[in-house]
Amino acid sequence: MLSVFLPIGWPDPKKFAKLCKIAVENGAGALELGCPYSDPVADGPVLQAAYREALAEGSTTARCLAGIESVAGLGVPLNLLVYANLVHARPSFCEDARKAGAHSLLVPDVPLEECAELREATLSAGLQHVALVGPLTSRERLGRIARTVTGYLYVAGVQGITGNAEDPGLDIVRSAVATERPVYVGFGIRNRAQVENVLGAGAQSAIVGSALVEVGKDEKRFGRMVAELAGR
Amino acid sequence: MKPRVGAFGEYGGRYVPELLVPALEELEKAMPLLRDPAFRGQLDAELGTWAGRPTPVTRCERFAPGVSLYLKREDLLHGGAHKTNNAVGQALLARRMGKTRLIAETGAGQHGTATAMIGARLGMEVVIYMGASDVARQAANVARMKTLGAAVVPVESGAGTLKDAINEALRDWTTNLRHSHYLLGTVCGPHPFPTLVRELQSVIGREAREAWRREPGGLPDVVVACVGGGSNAIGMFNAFRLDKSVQLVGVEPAGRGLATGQHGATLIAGSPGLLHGARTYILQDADGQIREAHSISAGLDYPGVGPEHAMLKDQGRVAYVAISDDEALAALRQLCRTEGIIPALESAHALAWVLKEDLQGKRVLVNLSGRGDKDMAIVEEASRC
Repeated sequence: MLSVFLPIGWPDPKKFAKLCKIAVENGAGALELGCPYSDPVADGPVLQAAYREALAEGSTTARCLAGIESVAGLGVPLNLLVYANLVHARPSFCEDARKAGAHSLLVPDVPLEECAELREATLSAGLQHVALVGPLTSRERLGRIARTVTGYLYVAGVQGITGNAEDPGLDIVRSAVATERPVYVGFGIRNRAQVENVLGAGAQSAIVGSALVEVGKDEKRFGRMVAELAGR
Repeated sequence: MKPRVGAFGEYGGRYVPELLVPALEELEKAMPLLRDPAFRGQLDAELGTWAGRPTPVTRCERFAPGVSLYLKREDLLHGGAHKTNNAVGQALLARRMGKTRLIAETGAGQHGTATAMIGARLGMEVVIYMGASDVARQAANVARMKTLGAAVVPVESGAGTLKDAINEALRDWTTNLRHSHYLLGTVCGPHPFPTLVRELQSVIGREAREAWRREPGGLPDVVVACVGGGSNAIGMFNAFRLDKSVQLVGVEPAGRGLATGQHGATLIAGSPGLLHGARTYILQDADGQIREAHSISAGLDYPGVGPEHAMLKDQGRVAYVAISDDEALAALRQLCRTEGIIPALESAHALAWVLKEDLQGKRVLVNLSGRGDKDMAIVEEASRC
């Protein structure tokens, strides 16, 4: 299954809703939605630039929630990726996100040791808790993280930031699959062969973000690329 | 969200992507080396014979008449600022961890210079991230870093200042942590950095306290330091924090004035949030988007502050105050003309508070955290306005 990542409200709120629709029509089985943030340390240049554009265009948390709501009727799970300070600044964030139609929440800059409070807020709002692991996460740690997860394990297939040009490593994917949690793989996936590789290793989903955001301002190209990645 | 790892009360913690956790765990495991006599000996030898420690404490009679003023002279340290204390310690640790490449962020360029210097001496590759607008306003330090063999990478994102340089350094480290160490320059960041950098900078306060005990004797009434990220202040305050009679004052940059919003006074005008791996006071909007700071001094131009300062503020142990760009400039000029010392614009904030506050008859110790040679272009530019 293909997950398509998009920054909420990018390039503008209307076009964002349209891109989400195009993604689903062309084979995306889930949408991964990121709230634009001023300091996205896990992201590479493409998503940094998209977040910057969205913020310059007037993105706020309230508008992000409205953006989620605008695509809630598409019939696919909406998985949120939101940096910690946006959640920290809005005590009702998890509840608001759930009401807007979100399915799960990943806060990329809250690791295992610091996640207890966040996880509690996520679960009590009725969202699934998703956690990030990477190629250097030890097997022991992977097991502990897997036990906190109620949604899926988000596996970064390469050590680094989003939009990486390396092929995702399959060792960590296989280890994550062995935890018997659903596994989604992201960071650096940009073609159908890579999607097939990670699905072949047992992942439920491959997430493509930067490669699609790069072409996102051309809706036709975006649609064709989603279809190709989805194997249509 | 309350931190669990490396907490200073409600502040600190380790808010980073999981991908960076292995590097922080590795660093934490290496920290006991700081107590290892052989490692300690090596560090002290470098600080003594290469970097010029101990630095003197200078009595100043003309700068603020009526105040018994002494300056701890970190401006005389190799490289021209206190940053060298931390850079040498972390670089030696990094080498012991088997790292061959050092990454650093820099604002004013002092930390970048210190890292470039020790990197050259230890034969390590050095990459410095520096905000593009800081590259422009601190050209002298950029030239120094390049001459020392470091690669200087201008960071265009955001306002092109220290915050953006730290983001980029964190991304590099996450990607290259197998062979690279991120030599973070201040008491900010995820655990263990605030503790590690405090340990390495505490030499400032230890020396100053010892020197004061000999001359003029006893303890100072007031100890003053500027606060950007807060490493020179923590390094100085740490030696006096248990001395109840000693008033500790941290001076933040008020920039063009607190009311204008163009400042870097995070403790005075900010609120708790998460930035660069720690819960601390930050400048942010209602949604939690990080706001840009402003200060005439690149080293204080940062919308966060070390988490230990956040705790010290809440405890009331340290009084935090703010000084404007203009007040800092005036204090810089006054120290030049009265004592023949050119202070860094950062340190000039601490000096300006001494001029502004009524300290008649008080015995005051100011941490002169760095020298101002790098700021001459800014000072000249300001004189023309």
